[in-house]
Amino acid sequence: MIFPTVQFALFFAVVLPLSWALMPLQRLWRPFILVASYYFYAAADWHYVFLLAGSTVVNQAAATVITRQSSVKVRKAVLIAATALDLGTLGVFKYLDFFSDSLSASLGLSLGLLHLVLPVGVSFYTFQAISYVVDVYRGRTPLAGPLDYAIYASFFPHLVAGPIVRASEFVPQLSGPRDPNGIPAARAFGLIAGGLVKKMVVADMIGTKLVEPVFGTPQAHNGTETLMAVYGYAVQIYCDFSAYTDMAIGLALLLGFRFPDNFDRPYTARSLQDFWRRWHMTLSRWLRDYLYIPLGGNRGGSAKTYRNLMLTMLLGGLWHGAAWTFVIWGGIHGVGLAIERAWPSMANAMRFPPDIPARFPQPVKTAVARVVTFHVVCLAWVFFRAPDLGTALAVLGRLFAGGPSTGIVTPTIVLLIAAALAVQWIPRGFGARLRTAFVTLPVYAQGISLGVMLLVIAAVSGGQGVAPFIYFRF
Amino acid sequence: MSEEPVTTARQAGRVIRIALITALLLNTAGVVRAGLGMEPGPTRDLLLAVAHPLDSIAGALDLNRPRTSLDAMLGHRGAATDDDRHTRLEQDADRLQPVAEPPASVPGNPGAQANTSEAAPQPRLAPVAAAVRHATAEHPLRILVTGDSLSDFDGQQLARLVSSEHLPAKVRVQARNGTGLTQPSVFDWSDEAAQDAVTFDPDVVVMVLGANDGWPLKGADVGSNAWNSEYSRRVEAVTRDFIAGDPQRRVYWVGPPVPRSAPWIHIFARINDAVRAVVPNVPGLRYVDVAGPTSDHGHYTDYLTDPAGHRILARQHDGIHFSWPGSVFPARIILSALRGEYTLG
Repeated sequence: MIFPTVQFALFFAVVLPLSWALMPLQRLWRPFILVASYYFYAAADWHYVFLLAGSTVVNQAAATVITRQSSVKVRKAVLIAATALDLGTLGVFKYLDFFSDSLSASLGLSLGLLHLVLPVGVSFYTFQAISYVVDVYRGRTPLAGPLDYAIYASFFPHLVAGPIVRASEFVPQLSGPRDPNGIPAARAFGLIAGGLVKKMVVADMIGTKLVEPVFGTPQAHNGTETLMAVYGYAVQIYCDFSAYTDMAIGLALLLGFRFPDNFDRPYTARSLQDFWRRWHMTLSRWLRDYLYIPLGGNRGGSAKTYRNLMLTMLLGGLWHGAAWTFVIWGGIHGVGLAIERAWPSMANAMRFPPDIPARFPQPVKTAVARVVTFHVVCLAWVFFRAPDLGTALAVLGRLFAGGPSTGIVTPTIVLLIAAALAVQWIPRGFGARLRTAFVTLPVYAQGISLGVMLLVIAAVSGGQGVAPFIYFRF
Repeated sequence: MSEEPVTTARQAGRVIRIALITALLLNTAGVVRAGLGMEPGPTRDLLLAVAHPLDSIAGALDLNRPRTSLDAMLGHRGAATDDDRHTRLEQDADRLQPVAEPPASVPGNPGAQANTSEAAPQPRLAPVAAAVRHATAEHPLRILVTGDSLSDFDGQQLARLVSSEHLPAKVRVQARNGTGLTQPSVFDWSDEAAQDAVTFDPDVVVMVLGANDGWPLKGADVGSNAWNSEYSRRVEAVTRDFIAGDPQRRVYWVGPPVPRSAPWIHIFARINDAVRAVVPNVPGLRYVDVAGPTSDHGHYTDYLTDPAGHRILARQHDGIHFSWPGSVFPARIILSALRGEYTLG
């Protein structure tokens, strides 16, 4: 069950009123929302409900032992065991066949494959589980009640593709009934409707009409089409992924819960460091707090800092998928971040004239920084999107190729790409003004306007169904 | 966040209800279609039980007009049909004789029309010339690879082969994921074929289909004689829609590969049987068997060995689709089949 479907609309139309009806009766609400979340998850594949339940039991048990034990050794051992089990589960489902096949290919062996279907959302809820156990160990979050933790782990809006919510952000919201008089419904509707537009109109159209043909058969396309497809993929993946998390945040708001933001206009970033503060923010901070900083962060001198950056980004790449293209994607970001960090001393060592940057006004420098950052991000996206290294190199090679056009770069596609990039420069206050205006409308006008918007989205998307969300694979 | 306008849960719920009812009333045909595409079960039954009568009422009150106007404005085929329970594919198939009792066609005479009943004329049937076409750089062979998700990688790899071997051909890939012949109310391949024939005007259509066709047909279970016969008729109907307007055009129908597990092993085998059975009756239709050559003596295998002796992980996790490197195997088979009839370079 995915958000932009009739099935989910029916599911939510039942769950929302029941949730608010039971909210004052917390003893009933808790099991209700847990069952609803498990039902949502089972709709994808009921077999993996047991995996989710097992992960919940194991991590809650580990957190309980860590809280109750006074022995540092035992606490540490349990933390390591729980984390190893979480990562082991992820490894078995996500990476075992990949490494088995890689070994078979390189050593000429004939290792068997497990053929395990990747459970939907396993990467997300495993990271949440790790953060919970580690935070309990560090004393940053108290032990949650078993039912509260189970709800946190399985809460359906964030279950399958994030955002990666921390226990310290969510569990306190379970301490009592949510306030039915404080629902930011206009923001929720805006996020859900905006998400539908981004996914069903922008991402799916650019994906099927431009990106797939070019990444499928790069040699059939000239430089202009290839460049537009690279820009197109940057827009597609942003609109696809941010659409899902926007809808997740909006649905949670309607249920009375707040999630952290996951995207903040990433293509306005002025550096890669800035990009990672704006792109998949909940994963970025997870990698920072549970990988980069434990590795030593920037505390051990330049060389160790660069090593830690590279390791973090390479593992971040591997988190996305079991393929070398993802590792290269992470590597490009790691190298880029390292260069950004080293740039001042590099420029100094190269005796880069210090007055050159000063000759340009700040807006020009900012614009150049944004353009460079965007193109480095796009370069990395080529590896992220390509099915294999050969295709990625072929796409890059075709950027400078001539030849006739195949007609896939239509004015509509160009307009969609331009519009999706341009809206990132709309001031934040604009959305707030729009929401304020929306709530002044009578209830029936709000409902009808949203209904008409749903109709238009369905018509524009052509009623051909929704393509799978890109991040469901991760 | 504190400046965010807030409302009550009750009011938010009312807005949602009004929005969903508005969207439903203005788009009943789309909802019916979505319902038909769902897995069988109580949710589907409930949705269709509500949506069908609403669709009738909406039709009578002309509430579908905004959607049809939008579709017309955007150049989309509408969600609604004149009769959702009898799609164009079903109508086209109904005009054809059951394959179980094939008409007396003339094998070896490609110019001959397939026999049809007197009551069911075949306006779109066209003879196919036997001459082998010689494609050149000036007049390359236009190949449209289409079908369900199986067609995507196959088509892309075919395009790569054509490009790497510098063959005088242009490959266009148009995958329609999640489609098949057993649910025309969800996606009507007759409509699609007729439109693709006009839009792309291909010399050859490579149709790769079957991954979503585990549904009963007219009440007959997969694998029954009635199911096979009906599936064959639908293959024939779609082929005729592709060929209409160009007697030289040919359709290479690529059956699904051997899958890893039940019930797909049985389903895919029946699909291949049904396609194979109809080929003698339809001039211009060719069957391409990828199941046999990409299996291990008829059994599923993950790995295939390429001509250079490298073992390739050829299948995806689902045990149905070819992997990206593995899809070069069906692509080679398709290219080989094309070379049997066309001179490429």
